[in-house]
Amino acid sequence: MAATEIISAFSYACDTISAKLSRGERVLLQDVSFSLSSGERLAVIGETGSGKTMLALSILGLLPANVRMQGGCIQMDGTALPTGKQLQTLRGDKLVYIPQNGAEFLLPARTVRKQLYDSLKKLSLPQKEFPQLAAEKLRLAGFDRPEDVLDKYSFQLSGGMAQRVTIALAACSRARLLIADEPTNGLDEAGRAQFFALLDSIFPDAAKLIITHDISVAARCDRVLVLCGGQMLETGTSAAVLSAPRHPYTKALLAAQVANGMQPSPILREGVSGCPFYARCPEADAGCLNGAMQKHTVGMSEWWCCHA
Amino acid sequence: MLEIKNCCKSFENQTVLQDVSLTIPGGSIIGVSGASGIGKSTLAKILCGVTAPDAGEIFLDGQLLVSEKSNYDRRWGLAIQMVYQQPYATLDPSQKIGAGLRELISYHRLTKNKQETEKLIADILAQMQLPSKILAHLPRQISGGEAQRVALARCLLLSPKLLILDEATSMLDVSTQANLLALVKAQMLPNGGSVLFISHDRALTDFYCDTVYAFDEDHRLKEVRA
Amino acid sequence: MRKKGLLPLILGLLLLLMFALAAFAPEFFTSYSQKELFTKWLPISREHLLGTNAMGYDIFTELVYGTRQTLLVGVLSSILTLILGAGIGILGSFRGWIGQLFNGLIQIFVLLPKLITLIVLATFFGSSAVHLIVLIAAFSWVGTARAVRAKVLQLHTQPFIESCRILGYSRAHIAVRHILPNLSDVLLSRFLLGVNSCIMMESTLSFLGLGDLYRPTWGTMVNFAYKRGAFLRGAYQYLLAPGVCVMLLCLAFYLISLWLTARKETISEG
Repeated sequence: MAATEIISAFSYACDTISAKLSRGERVLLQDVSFSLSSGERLAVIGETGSGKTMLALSILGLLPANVRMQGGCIQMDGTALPTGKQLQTLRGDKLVYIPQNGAEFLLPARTVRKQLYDSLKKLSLPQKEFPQLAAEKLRLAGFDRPEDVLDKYSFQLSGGMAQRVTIALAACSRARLLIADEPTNGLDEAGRAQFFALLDSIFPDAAKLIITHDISVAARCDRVLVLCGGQMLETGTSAAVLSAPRHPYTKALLAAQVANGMQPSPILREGVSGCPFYARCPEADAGCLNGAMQKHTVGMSEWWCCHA
Repeated sequence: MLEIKNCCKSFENQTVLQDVSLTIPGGSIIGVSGASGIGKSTLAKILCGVTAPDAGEIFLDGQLLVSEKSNYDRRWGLAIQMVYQQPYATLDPSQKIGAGLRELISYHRLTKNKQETEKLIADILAQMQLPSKILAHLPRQISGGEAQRVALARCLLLSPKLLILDEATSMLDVSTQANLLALVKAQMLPNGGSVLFISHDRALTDFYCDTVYAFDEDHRLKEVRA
Repeated sequence: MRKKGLLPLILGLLLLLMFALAAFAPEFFTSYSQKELFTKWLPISREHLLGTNAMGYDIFTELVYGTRQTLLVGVLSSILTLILGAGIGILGSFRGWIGQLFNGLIQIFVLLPKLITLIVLATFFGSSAVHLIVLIAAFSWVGTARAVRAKVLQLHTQPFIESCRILGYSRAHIAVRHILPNLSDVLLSRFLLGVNSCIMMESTLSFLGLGDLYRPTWGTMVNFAYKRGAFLRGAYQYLLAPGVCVMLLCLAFYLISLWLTARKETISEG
């Protein structure tokens, strides 16, 4: 990445994230790095198991007990992210997370109102303003009549409404970084458009990390990062990567879309190499077995591949 | 091949299926689409013998399978199999994958001896693009895509005439979905079998299926695209 | 994390091992025989670790030999409880009149006052060890039956049972190959805690004099001590020692069951 005068709002670099299992260690993420400026949207695309969730959890400091991050550096507005208790205060305030399934994320025993108040407490605002603020956040999230939702419990809300309540909760913050995990699963085209419009209106200055396996969602973002088997395979502006993909894996992902004919990418060969896509890559050759991943750059796109 | 005639079903005064008629010819992929809860899964459950219809008849290859008066013929109905939406839901959580496959093969006496069994298992794993080490794993130790392929393998071992996919790919990512659906097509159609593909994703059903039916608000089935 | 979890298991197994040794090889602990006569009511000494009782038998020897009987009645009645409880629990989960019949049976037994009924029946039926085992099991199966029935009903709601039917398996095959193995964790934890409850019941009955008087268990020993005037003689060890043993044996099984539940709660492959 060419150096710019602007200090990026958020930058992420990690050497390895690995999980300690009953037998040996398993590397979940390796040599991933990127940076985001204020208001920029980055889509992290990959199949299940590509390491996208671990990426998000490592930023939030919520990695599972047997998973550790070795090496690397996460920075927000130029300073390194703290850990432990200090990171906990940042969560919900500067670091905001929108989960995949809103209904499961909300606390089942507290009303929407109580949960909004819990989040508003983080902003150190006077308590008497809470009712008005809560209604305002719900209106921001697209509820025309906040009064209808305020005293409901999460199980009384439909899936879409629950998702919008989690957005309202996230809106009770001064977010600098927003992480959304597969936020548009189950939504149709109109729902997706509405979601992104909401995101832009509520969080104009936050850097946004959108985890998805849906290319149409990636198309709405500014930049794209393609993960496979825990490694970065391609990155660049979404216009460039999605219209002219360079890496064979990105090409296979795009070809698997229904609109492009749902081309399968079956396993073509046995063998393990440094490249996580080796077994299914239609363009792999003998050199891929022991070759190292080389970085190629064309314009604003970068990709890592064993063969040219 | 499969004929559904005037099927009706209601649960507790709520109509779920109203006068549903459908013919599924051999070697075709039929899509059934509609909003959630409209009755698509209920139709699948009636075809598999999990629920009984309140009215109507279903014929498989000309022979009566189930009707409001006669019970589901389990032996004849073995030719209809289903893959569910939840990948892990159909696998016994305490049973290893290999044990499950061997149980199926020995229960239905698909092979004569142990060698043939192991060869059959190796063949089906190769067709499903699953590694052989998966046989020693428990369901919770494999990925969602692998679990769906195991469920598919179990269905295919019985050489079904009709394979029902009930939202079988909605929990999978796009590449896994593409791979699974290509596998299904390659395994079922060449043998004259058919697929009943249930999904709320219209773009997907329009692309994948030969004919698409949809449920309207009255819980009736209508053809929407041929 | 691993090491902390193993401590209760090690402690429990050590205790159990000690008692098992006493049950199977009592000569290891004491060189006297059960009926060897000494002077009555001797105090604690090096030759008689717990003194002698009203008949002149060595109390410590009685204690060691009593281990076998206590363990026997406790474990056998627990096994019988398990079989009865699992069987009735499964039958109680059937649809139709069978399920209703056995579920009704469970509900009736829940309401019965167990101990009092046991005492009445034990008095009536006589006091051999076999009678005790059967009687204790006849009133302990209820908890297991309810746990088993609940688990079976829960398993029935899961799609994998439904898909077994679609694959053509008969109901009997599903019950044996798919429901029973998934019951194993319920059954194991109920068995371990059931041993404790059976030992306590047996001790209570024996204390009341309803046990087998020729092959004394620890509970019977407390009964002897009480009836033959250990209080008056100041031979408190006669009263306390069997009670402490019951406590330690129950502790052993409890610790093992603790380890088992802790093991279930950890996540494996992540």
